[in-house]
Amino acid sequence: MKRNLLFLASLAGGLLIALLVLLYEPTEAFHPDALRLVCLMPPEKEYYWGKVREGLINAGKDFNCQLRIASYDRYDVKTHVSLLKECHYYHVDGIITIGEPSSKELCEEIATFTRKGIPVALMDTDAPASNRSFYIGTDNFKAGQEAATQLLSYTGGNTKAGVIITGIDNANQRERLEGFTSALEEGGGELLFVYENQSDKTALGAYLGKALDENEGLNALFDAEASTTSFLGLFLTERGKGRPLYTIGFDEVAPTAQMVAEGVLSATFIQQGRQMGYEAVKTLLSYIEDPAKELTQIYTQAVLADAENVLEESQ
Amino acid sequence: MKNTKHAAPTPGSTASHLRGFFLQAELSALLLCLFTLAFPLAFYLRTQREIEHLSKAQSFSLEHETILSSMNWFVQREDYSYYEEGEAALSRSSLLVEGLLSDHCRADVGRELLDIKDLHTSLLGAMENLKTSMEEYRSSEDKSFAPVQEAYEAFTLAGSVLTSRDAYLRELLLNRATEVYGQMRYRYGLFLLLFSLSFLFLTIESSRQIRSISRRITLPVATLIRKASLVGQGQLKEGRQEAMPSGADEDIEKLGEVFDEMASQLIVQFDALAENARIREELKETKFKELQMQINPHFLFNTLNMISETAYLENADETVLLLQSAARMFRYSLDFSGKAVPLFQEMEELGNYIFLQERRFGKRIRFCFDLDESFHDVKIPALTLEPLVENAIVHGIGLRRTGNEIHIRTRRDTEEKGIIEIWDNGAGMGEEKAAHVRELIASFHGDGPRIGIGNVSSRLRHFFGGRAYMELETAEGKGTLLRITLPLGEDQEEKAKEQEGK
Repeated sequence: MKRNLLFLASLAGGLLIALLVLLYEPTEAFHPDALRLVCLMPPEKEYYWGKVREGLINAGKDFNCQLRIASYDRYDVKTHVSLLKECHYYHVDGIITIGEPSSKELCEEIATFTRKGIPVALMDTDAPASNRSFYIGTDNFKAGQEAATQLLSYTGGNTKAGVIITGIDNANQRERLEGFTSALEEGGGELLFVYENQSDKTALGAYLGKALDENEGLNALFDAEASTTSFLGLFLTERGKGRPLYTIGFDEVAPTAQMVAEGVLSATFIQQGRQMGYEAVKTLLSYIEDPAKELTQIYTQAVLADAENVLEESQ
Repeated sequence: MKNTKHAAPTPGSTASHLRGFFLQAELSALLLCLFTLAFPLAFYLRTQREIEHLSKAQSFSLEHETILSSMNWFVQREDYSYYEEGEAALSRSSLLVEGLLSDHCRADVGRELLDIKDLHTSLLGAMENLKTSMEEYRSSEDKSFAPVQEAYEAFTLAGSVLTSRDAYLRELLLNRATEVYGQMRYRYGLFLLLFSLSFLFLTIESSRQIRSISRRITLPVATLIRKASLVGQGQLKEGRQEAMPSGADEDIEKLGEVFDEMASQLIVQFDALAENARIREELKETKFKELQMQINPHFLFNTLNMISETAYLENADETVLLLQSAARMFRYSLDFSGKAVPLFQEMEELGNYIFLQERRFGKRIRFCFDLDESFHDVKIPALTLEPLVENAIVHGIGLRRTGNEIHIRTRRDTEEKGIIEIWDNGAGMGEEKAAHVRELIASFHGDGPRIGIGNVSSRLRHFFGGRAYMELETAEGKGTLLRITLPLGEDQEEKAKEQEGK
């Protein structure tokens, strides 16, 4: 009898556990009184922004705040501004977004929030004129310097470099170019050209072919734009370098990392997207707690990875 | 109503095992049924909950559309009833949002609901602004509609934000419901697998239990039936010897033991019946022999009386005494043969016999008595002692001329035992002869015409139901001692009466 009861107890326990496991649903706890943050950013389908989003979400969970992430499919200042304007209609304790220093409208809209006492953190791209609370992201000037130093090292100081950027009006690109130029000059290198491709890969291909033909001494390329780095690798694979040519990109997607690992590209910058997203939330929350805190720019790490460590760093 | 009370089954008993088995089988089936019902029910409730949330979201989305269209009509027609309609729709929508908020614990949905709640407040503010602008427009003289238009645009902007957010919320809820449904379908597969495994497990366990019951109950019962059949057919010993299988339940094992005990008792009873039948047969034969023998003793007895009278007339006193003793002895033999007599009466009769033997042997034999008469009222079969003394004279003393002694002694060994000893200092017996006599004492069944030690032993055994016994001590040239141990006590009295009756 005792054995029967033991069997029944085991069966009941087993079935109950099975039922609980079958019905278990992990849910993110909702805390209505938690601070409400809004993040407006490019879509997560872009590799880099996907990592940023992960960092944001992890920080939201770790610091127990309500984080709403709104994305736009293609960057457009008007959409960015209208999304920001929507934030006036509901309660927001803080905003995280990306800056666009060239857009006065966006800067003004950001300023309306900071004037209302709602802190705004800019990540990835700074816009100091917006009166944002602080910036968090890569030190683009320093990254430019580091790229130049590395190319000088590759070429033994005899660097004849070309730089590819999206456009000079893009703050990040401009800062990278400035940093690159300053370090190159300091190291005795020569800047042969700066090409603003406006993310047009066809035009970039045509320009590069011409630039390689016309500049026989060209031995270094710095692609400061993420979206064209993998294209640059493909271009060089197809065309062939025809000479010693060192290239540094600013992208960390898998094809780029593979091209670096295979030696098609010499190195690439890997930005710590997760760290940036995580730190943005963490810093904004501490800023909300203590608005008197002196914050302007917080730099996250950008690793210049070569064939040896690119696959490891890009994970 | 009849009040029936069942005692709790003893642990280890068949009832306990069967009760345990049925309890386990029934409750296992019940548990499996509950499990089978619980998951689909939870599945249904879970999906129903998602559908309900979606339905509520859809409802307040419709309310939002009502608000927007009402305010549009309010601006176009300047009719305050539209405003009130919009206000009521906003109020209903707020209630729905509150209900959903209190029912939802998911962080993303909760956050959206909080925003929609804030947007309701913003929308209400925009509606009130519009209403104020409209009132100012209606009361002002310049009839400038621009402020109303401006307020309406602000309202529309807030409304569009609300519309986009509730669309997002519905998308969120729909995605969630799809995700839940997908999860549940996957889990339903797992549930079916678990159910099948549980069912298989229970089937195996039940089969194991049934085998166990068969081993503990069915097989032993079948063996018991075989044993009973053998006993029924009269094969008592075979039935008794058929072994019960090991591992039977305690009560069935006990039943087997009781059955074996009963069979053993039956064997004993049947043996006793057979023995009694044999004794009755023997008694019949003895009676017949006695009747045959009675013819001559009566004639002899009458003749002895006649001689005794003649001897008296002739003044031959010694002869008279001898004849009288012989006559008393024959009388005793005739009157009490096959009957029980008290030991003292048997001793008196032995006295007659010894008187005759003293006259016969003179100084060749000396008879010595050492008697403890405290138990001489015990009844024994008549003519028990005389044949033994006769044996001592015939076989013990034999042809020796002098120095022969025969001692007759009685003593009480314990409260429940009386001893009669007849000892002679005669020739005694060798090992072989002693063994033969002991065998006669132990198992004499009265075959043959002689009435000797074996016959006496047999009669004593039957009379006392095996509780009286005879022992022989002898050695070549050192005489023979015969010892009879008699049971004493009240129950012995009853037994003697019973035997006497037989």
